[in-house]
Amino acid sequence: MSFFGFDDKSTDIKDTKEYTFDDTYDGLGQQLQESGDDFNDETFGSFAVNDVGKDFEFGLSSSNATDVNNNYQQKPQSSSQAGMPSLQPIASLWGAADQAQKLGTNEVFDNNNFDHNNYDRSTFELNNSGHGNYDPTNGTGIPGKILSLEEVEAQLRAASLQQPQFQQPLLSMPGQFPPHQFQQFPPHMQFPPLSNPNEPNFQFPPQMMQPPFQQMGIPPMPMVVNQHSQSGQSISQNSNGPHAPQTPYQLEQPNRTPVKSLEEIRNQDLAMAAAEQDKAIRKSKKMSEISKYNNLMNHKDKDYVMRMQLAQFVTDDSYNEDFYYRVHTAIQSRHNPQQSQISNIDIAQAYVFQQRGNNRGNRYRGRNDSPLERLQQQVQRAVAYVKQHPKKNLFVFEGSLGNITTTSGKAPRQALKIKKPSEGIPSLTSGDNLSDLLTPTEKSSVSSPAFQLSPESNSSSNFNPPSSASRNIGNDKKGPLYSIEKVYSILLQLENTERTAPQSDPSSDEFKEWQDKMRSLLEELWDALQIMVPFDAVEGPSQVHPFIAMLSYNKGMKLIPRIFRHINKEQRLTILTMIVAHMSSLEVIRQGSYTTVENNEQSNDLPLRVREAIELFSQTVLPPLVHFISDTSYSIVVGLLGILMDRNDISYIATTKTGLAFLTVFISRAELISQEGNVTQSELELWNTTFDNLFRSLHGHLSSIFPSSNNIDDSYVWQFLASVALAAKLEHQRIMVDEVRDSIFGAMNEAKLLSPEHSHQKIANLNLFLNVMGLNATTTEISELKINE
Amino acid sequence: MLFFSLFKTLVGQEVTIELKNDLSIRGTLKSVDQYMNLKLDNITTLDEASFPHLCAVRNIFIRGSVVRYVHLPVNAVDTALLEDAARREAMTQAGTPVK
Amino acid sequence: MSASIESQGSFMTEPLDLIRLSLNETVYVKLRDGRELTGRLHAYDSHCSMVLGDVEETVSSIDENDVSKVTTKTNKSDMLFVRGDSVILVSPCVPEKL
Repeated sequence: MSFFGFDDKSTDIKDTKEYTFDDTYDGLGQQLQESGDDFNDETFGSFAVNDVGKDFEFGLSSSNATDVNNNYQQKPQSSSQAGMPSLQPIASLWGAADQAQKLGTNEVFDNNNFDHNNYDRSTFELNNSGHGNYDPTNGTGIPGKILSLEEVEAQLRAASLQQPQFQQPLLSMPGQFPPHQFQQFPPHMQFPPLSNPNEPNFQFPPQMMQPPFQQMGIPPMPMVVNQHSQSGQSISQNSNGPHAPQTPYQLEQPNRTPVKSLEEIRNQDLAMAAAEQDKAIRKSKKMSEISKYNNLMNHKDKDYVMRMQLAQFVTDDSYNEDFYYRVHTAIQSRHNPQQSQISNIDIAQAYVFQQRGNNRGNRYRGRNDSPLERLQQQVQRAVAYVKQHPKKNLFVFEGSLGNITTTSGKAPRQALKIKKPSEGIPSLTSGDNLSDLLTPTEKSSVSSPAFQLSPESNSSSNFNPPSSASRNIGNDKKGPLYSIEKVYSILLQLENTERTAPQSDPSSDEFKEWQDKMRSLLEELWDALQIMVPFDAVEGPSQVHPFIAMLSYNKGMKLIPRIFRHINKEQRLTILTMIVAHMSSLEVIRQGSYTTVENNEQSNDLPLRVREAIELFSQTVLPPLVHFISDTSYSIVVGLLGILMDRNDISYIATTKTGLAFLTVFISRAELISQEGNVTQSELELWNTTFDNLFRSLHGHLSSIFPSSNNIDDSYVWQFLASVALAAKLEHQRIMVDEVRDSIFGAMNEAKLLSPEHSHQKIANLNLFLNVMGLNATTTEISELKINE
Repeated sequence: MLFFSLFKTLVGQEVTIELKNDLSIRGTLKSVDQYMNLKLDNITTLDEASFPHLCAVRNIFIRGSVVRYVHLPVNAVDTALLEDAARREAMTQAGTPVK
Repeated sequence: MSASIESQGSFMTEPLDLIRLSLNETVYVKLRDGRELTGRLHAYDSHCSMVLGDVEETVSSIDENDVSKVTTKTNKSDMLFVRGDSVILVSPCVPEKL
């Protein structure tokens, strides 16, 4: 199981256990008392109940501010320091999703400045259960005591008086100063970076503008506004709010005089600074608008949502779902070894980064946060969690995540609900499952037809002449297509099973189990091919054997080489015999004869679709068959040739390219074995008889085996004639030359008109045949041919 | 996820995207997600007269739902593999995934 | 017939399975906005998104001035991804008699 690109083996579940929610969660969530809020007003002061949770943490705002800063400005530090704590809540989510969900959506977390580091603390404060585990560096907060608004404001004022000379940018001393001290920036002259485009974020951290500050009445603007250098005093606390920021420059501007003086230059500077300040104020207003909802979700929430999203994509079958990409990439890298394969990790990282960035939903992420490793780890853990928990219970999250859709990319909403037929598809009748209907005896009676069909047998039965080629496409088309797709289904299973062969010892149980699976799939495949279906059982208008019908389709032809890899020699012979015996019903033969072309005056060639089919047949079906023939014995070759002649009209088959290819292969193979001499006399006699029969069939038809147009490559014809001439006796050769004489001279005449290159090729093809008989031809030397004759 | 899988292999290839508003955009496929949202680089529109505002745009993000067609480079698609992938997807949908 | 495909009984029972029969075959696809495609089907998914090869697209539009006049325009593409939400119907394309 893996999550797309992820290497599932690297998923580390150990850490998940280490930080389960149950381990780290102290159970205080359960102690939340939802009742007894009657005196909240007395305790917290009288403000709207809705405001609770947004401003309770004034005493701790320094730590919050620095935490936030850590989030956005010091991410490496933050993540390294808080590495464990940041993973902790995630881990806890995995440990107890329901609890986490409850907590995650609890009002407790409404605090905008919520941070997982003070998660427990804020919970306690809100529920009056405060026993502080306060960090001493947290500034002015008083452990264990709930402060009223007045108290806090007083505290802040006091603190600001105590530390009036804050000189350093907040970045350098995180956690040291409460945020209100940021207002006490020294005079603006010491802060030229205001105009530095690189630093606006430093000076205007969006978190500074957040509601807690505003609600406290502390204006966020002044703390980023540079103060007048001459004022010599810091701005004290005020309640002007963000809409009335202090801008001392405006008071100074009337002092400007036309006299050019240092003072005026300075004033000009100040004016410019004022303009920039205005700009900055506008900008920060805008930012405060944008960032109003920052941190509405804490890390936990985000991780939780991310986990839910991941759950939609996690798959336990990535090979299936990303099959194309994986295999394509593998093939590509095999073809271009120098081009490094995109590793799964890269994809995963890219994906996670994207995913994560989206979740954060802010534009500051691009800088130095989100270390990929950490995210990847998180995702791996999330994936591990999702894998452990079935994702059926998504409805549990309804409400917490809004409406949950039950549909997904993998299972879209169904617009139509169609009742499934209880068994099979009624419309598919022709040839389907016929092998199931056969009794065992019927099955055995049709096994290995190669050995039943002697050249003498069945000469008249079941001959399927090409004239019956017309068929009802609408009716019987689905049958073969259905059969083909069924074979593909099994084949894919088979190939996948083969790929997942166990590495263990062949004697192990695991291996035996795998072998059994392979064997049963092979049986299933063989059945699905329907090759054992007796031809007599085939009904319907097509009168084509179901196996042969499959070869009428491109995808059916493409099956053959893939199937041949898996089946044994006997099964291969059965397929070859089937094809040979039913050759006339092959689509490439039925449609592939050039004798039918003559009606069509325009192109003088077969239709494009047929030509493509013939080409595909010779690229897919022929090679494994030829390879098999070249390995097989003399008697089988001769026997197959006999079957071919007995069951088909040779004179017709010879007019097709595919038919000639078969004949060429059989004849040349038989002749080759004969010349090797390892044949018995009876075998030789059988071959001679067979060849004589063949020649008799071809006699008188040899001139018609050429393609219908001179523009068509006819080299395969010369190859065929050469192979026949090789096996033929002298008188046969004379007959042949007589019959194709016109074609010989035609080819020579044509060659004269062609470019030298094509001419040479044409003559070379011609000589394939002539050389066998000790003749040779050139473009011009007709006499030479005559002399030799 | 079949087409997500396919488009991932086409990253870096030149594609032409025809949108449902008849705008055609040609460019280098930069990235794709599971919603078939697409990012293109170095784009050109085939009909700049109708969409002059796109002349200056180099990179574009296209929401998957507005796509009508994507013209793919024929050499970059392994059709036999793609058909097998489609069969696997169909088998998974039917509850008999290849295992 | 011991193993999976047949015995699970779910082979080829969904409407979409009919489209599977046309994999690697020529299909006719009718789309919104008066568009029709003919091409070889290389892939499809449950949204009826498809990849077609050797596609011919026919766009029919009614003349603005004369409603009775329908103009058609054809385009070709070697390899085309079609997003499923435009698809109205998919049908096996019966080739003309050879």
